Amino acid sequence: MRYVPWASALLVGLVAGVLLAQIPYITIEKKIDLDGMVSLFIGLVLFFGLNLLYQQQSTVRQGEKDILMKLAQDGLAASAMLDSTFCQHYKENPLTQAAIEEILAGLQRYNNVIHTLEAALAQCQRKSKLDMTQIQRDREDYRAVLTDSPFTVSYDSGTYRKQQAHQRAVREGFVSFMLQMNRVL
Amino acid sequence: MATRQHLHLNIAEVFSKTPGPRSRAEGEHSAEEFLETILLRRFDEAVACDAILIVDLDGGYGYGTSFLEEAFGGLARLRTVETVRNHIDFKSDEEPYLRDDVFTYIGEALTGSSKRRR
Repeated sequence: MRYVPWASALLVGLVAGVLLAQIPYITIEKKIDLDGMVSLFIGLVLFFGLNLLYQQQSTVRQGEKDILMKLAQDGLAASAMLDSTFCQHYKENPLTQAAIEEILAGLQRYNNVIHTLEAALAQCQRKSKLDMTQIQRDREDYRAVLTDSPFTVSYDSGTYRKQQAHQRAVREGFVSFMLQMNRVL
Repeated sequence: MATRQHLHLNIAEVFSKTPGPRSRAEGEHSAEEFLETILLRRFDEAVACDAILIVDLDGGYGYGTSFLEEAFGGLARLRTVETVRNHIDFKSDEEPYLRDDVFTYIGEALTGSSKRRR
C-alpha cells in the first residue's frame, strides 16, 4: 500500500508526458539523453530523500513537543491543586494529620511531575535549547515555603502571601518554559 | 579498590512516618530530636568503621524542608560538610529528587542559604 502513491505519480507523469506530446508546436525527441536522465535521477533522489528526512525529523520533533507540553501542563495542574490544598488547610492550628498528609502528597505529586518533565527533556533531541533551571529553583523554593517550620504544626501568619507569591512564580516559570518550547521545538 | 561497608537507616522505621518540624520546641518528631537521638550515633558508627550510612527516605508520608535541612544540614554543622559527604548517602524510590535536595542542604549547611531560601 505504501508504494501506491509513488506508482500513481509515475503513471500520472507518463500520461501527462504523452498528452503534452499531442500539443501542436511541441516536439519530443525519440532518443534517450543519458546525462539528462542521470541528472534528473539525482535531482529526484535528493528532492524526495531530503523531503522524507525532513518529514521524519519534523514528526519526531512534534511528538517530543507534544509530550513536553503535556507534562508542563500537568505541572501547572499539580501546582494549582497544591495551592487549593494549602488554601483549604493553612488556617488550621494545629494542622491535622490528614491536612499534613494531604499537603505532603500534593507536594510529592508536583515534584514528581517536574522530575518526569526533566527525565523526558533529557531524552529529547533538542534538550540543550530548553532550560529547566528556573522551574527547578521554583520547585525548591515552593517546597521550602510549604514545609518549613512551623510546619508540621501550623503555618505562620505571613505564609499565605508567600505561598501566593511562589504559586505565581511557579506558574510563570511553567508558562515561560512552554513559550520557550514553542520557539525552539 | 575495596568496596566500603554500608550501614542502613530507614527514618520511617526507626523514627517516625510523619517527621515533624525543625526544633523540639515546635512539636513532636522534630529534626532536632532525630539528629540527637538517632542520626548522630549512627553516623559516628559509620565514620568509625569507614562505612557509608545509607539513609532510606521511603516509607513515610513525606518530609518538610525544615526537617531535612535541620537533620542533615545540622549534621554537617556538627561534624563537617566534607565528612558528611564522604560517609552518607540517600535512597528514595518514592521521591528520587530528594537525594539531590538533601545534598544541597548539606552543601549549604554552613552558609545557611537553604534556611534563607524563602
